[in-house]
Amino acid sequence: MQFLNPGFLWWLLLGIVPVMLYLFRRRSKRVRVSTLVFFKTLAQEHQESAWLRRIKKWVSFLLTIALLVLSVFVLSRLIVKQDDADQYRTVILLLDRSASMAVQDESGESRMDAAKRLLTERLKKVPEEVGVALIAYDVRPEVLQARTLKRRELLSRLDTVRSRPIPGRTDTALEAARMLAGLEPPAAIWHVSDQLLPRPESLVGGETTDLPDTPVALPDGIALRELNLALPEISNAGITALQLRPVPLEHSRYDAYVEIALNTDAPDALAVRLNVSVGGIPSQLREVELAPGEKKGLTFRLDGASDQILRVWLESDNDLFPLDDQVLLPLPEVRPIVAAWIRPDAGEDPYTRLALSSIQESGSFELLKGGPSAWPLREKVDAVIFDGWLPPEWPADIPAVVINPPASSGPLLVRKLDAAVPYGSVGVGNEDHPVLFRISSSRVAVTQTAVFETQGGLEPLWTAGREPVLAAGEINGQRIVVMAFSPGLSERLPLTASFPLLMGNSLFWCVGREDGPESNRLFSTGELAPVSGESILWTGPAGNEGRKQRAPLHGDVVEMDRIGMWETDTGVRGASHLLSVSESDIRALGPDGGGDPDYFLADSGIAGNLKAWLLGALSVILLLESWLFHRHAVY
Amino acid sequence: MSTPSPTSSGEELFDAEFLDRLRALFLRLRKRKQLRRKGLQSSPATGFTREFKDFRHYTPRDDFRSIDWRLYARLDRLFIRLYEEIQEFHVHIIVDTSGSMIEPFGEKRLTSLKLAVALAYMGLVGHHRVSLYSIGESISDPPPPMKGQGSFQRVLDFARDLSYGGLTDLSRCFQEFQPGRRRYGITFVISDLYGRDINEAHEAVRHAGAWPGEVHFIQVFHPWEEKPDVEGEIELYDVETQEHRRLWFTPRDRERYEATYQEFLHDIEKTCQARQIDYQRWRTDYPFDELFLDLLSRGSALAGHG
Repeated sequence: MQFLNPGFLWWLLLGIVPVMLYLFRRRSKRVRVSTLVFFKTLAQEHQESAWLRRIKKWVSFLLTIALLVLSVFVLSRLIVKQDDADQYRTVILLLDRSASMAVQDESGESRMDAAKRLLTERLKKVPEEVGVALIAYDVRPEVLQARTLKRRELLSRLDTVRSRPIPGRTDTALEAARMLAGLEPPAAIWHVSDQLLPRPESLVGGETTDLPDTPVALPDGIALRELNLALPEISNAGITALQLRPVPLEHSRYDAYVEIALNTDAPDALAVRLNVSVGGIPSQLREVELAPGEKKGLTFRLDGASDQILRVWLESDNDLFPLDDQVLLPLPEVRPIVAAWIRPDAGEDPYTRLALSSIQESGSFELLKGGPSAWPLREKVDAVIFDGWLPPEWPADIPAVVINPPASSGPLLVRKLDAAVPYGSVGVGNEDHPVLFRISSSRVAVTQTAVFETQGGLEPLWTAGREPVLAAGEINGQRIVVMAFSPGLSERLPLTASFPLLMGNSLFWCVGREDGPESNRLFSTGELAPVSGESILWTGPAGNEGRKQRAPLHGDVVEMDRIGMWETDTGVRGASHLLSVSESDIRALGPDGGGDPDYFLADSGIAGNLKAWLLGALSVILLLESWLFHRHAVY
Repeated sequence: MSTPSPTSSGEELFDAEFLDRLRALFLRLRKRKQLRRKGLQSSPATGFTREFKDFRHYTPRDDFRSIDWRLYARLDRLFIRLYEEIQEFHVHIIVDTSGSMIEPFGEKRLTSLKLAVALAYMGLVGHHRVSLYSIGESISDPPPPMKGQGSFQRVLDFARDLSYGGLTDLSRCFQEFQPGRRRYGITFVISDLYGRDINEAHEAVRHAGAWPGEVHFIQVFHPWEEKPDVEGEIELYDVETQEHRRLWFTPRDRERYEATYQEFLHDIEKTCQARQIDYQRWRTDYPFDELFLDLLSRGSALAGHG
């Protein structure tokens, strides 16, 4: 027990007054009378209350002393120390609001509700002069309540915390809590989550079996207490990754990669069924059995998908965490690449034209032809092909494919050879470059017509002799592919399938369609997505029209704070899903419980500030006294 | 339980000054009697001597033997001679010796004894027989009747030797007291009349109504008993019954007590009047002489003889 305002204890000296009054009270006067008959006729209650009068002396004395002592205790702010909470000036509540806190137990209570309930109970035992701050974190921390002594305000703010479908990240949250705690030391950080803070790997992986009490080194004056609210047993299978990329040079065809995993603490292996549908039409179905902690990657081919909804979802028994069981993704609207082919009026290379025509037949490519007089272009194009001609003023805003450059222009430093030099083979610089996708370079023979500098971001892909004849790269954000050879003069190149592929790859790579933003606007929740416009329309996970919700946009980025698909008023679409390995790997409560459950859950009945108890006792005493001396007519 | 009288000698009860005052009272009574002689009627009882007292016109039914024929011859009108009997009375003096008469207010004992001694003196001086009794739980056997002033010392000895204490049983005492009818009796009861309950005194007075001769009830009480000056928590102790009672005595209770006490006195007075019993309150703080003079001047035969 401790008094927070011990100065008021001097008021206990007032107890001398009732003590003196008791010690020097008027004794009952003993009167000898000739007869009692006249006194016996007085009111009967006066006769009966004599015994009450007898006990009133000490009852009244005790009640008076009790009233005085209790009043002084209230003023002195008596507290009962149940723990060390009163040693601190500040308590930082570090509350996990990540997606896994939405897991419900058998009674239907989520981990977040349990955390709020326990914290509310626990805060009642914290002395009022201890400031409390509230930090809720998911992928990033948020100070919901700065240090305050207003407990009601804090509890109100705590009540507003909701679990968000966002992965949790503890390092930044702990750092924020540490900074906040350092403002008013000594302080305690109460971390409430469904898993303990990660211990240092050096200790976990080493021979040391006893984990340190605190997972991080904290400065003096800051203590860390953890409450682990994980369920004793939980099984969760979820989708942890999804990647969709178009098949190169194949219109409306995509490869989808899906990773599914079962949490490490799952009690048994789990059979799951992975469903895929495009536009509501079932497309794929896989049944997989996952061992605890196992991850599996699955690849699907999606044909004919354009501007439709891809839905991937898991079905399994005993899965308590549904937020990671489904992914919705709007497939991009496939639009053909528009390219301009600028070549000298009299110098159209039939092989080049043949290669571009073959690409054009696939439907994913539209070609505009023109001579140097057509430059600069009136139409907006996705890429430009300079064939044997370069503009005097280099266009820095359009991806470009340069074939047989005649001279230097812009960032390209070129010198045309007086005589073309044939080469029977080429060396490969980076065969994994997308430009060389599916191209067999071993049978290529080229005739070099120019030499160029591969400075800047250009990367040599083919070399003839010592000179690069094919290079690709980004210069000041502009993708450029340079071919320092003439297809018409090259001996075998135009006749093989590699050249159309090379042209197609070059165009697609320049435009960036193979992994461009339109095909990859799938975000994990918590990420910041670059957007434009004034509002964003969210569609719920089920794709239900009734669950659409529009929100205003402030700035160029928006936080992916919910699960679902979205579309801005400018037409940009995307989706946001959990897709987190760590968040889907929901931990179960270990046999030792972990953390400090006794610190948070121990209920001593009477603890913390006793003001309410003392006031209650005062009221009871007053009522008792009132009952004694009014109900029993003791005047 | 009886308490011996704290009186060690008769000086306290009957000192020379008191005797002088008593004689003065006797003379004052005599003077008053002479002034009021007309209209008084003599006792019809037959005595040892007859003294002429007065004349009165004859009226029918008067004893014609009393006609003074000499006056008739001289005045030609009928007068009868009135004689005053000189009669020897038997004075019974009953003194309450219960515990309530000595505790907690010893003045009651002193007052009652003084009164008894004074009455006895008056009786002895008047050549009457005087018998002294004490009552408590029962009435005591009286000593042989005393007569003549020479017996006054015996009166003092009796008063000195009285023992106080014990309960009061008024009904029993008054029932047991049977004064003789052979001689005109004057009975004085000196008591506080406190019984075991309030109504006991009324019952006892009924018995006294059957006593022959004059009966005088003199109720002696202390002013505290009429107006107790206590307040707050008190523990009462009954000196007779040894009973305790603890209560909180408020001013309102005091008012009710006083009203009850006055009602008690008034009821006894009414009961006495209904039975032609003389009743007098005797508060111990009142002047003895005035009360005594008032007692004897209210038509007592004891005073009339003087």
